[in-house]
Amino acid sequence: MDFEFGTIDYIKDNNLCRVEINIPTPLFEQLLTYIYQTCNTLANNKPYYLVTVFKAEVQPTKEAYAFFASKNRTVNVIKEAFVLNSSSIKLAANFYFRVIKPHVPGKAFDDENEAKNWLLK
Amino acid sequence: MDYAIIVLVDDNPTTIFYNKDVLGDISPESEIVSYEDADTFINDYLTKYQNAGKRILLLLDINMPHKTGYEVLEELEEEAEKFDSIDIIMLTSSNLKSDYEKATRFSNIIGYIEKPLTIEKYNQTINGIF
Repeated sequence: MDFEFGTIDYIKDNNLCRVEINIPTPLFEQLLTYIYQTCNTLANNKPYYLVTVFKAEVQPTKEAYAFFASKNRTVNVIKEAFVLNSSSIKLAANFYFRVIKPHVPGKAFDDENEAKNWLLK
Repeated sequence: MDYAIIVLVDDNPTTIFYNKDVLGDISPESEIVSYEDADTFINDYLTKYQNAGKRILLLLDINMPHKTGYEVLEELEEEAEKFDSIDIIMLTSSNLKSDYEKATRFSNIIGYIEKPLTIEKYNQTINGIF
């Protein structure tokens, strides 16, 4: 399904929610809440794997980091992978993994297939 | 985010003096250590810091005369057993896109600050706003 800045799809066979952001945007809390609520709904509120593909430049805001740090965000997420294409978001991902420290296993990738293989192995 | 030790590596003594002052205001509990010579820092990291068991932040200049900041990181990556345990902010007067992009090669670089260092820039980076 489409949303304002990209697409959200649930691949039932792999129990995988795929989020693609393809229009530049700041990452604000309302947007992130919408994305995760949609994934939860598509997965029938059951645990699922999550891959987020950033194809456009995004700017994490302070509230986005607080949102990423909250346990509630990943309550249904088994593992999550980020596919990153820009320098700023790669540094933001470093910060997220090293300083905020995610509540579920997570990793950043350059390549989407590698990300999916890691998630589903 | 509190670091037990903040290490400054910069070939310019004036910049070090100024940055120590700024960091002393920002993080009075941290021990602030500085190096004008990258090789001395590398040696101390390998012999002291990597096994100190403390949370360490490195503020590293990119453009230095004998060794660039990225060369320092490449050397540490190759020689240190615990290179990944240190968080790094690249601190530079360079606004070259290529310098910024190089920072993404190292997974422990958590930020990139253009000089001069200010309390606001540091807090923005360490609070996760890029």
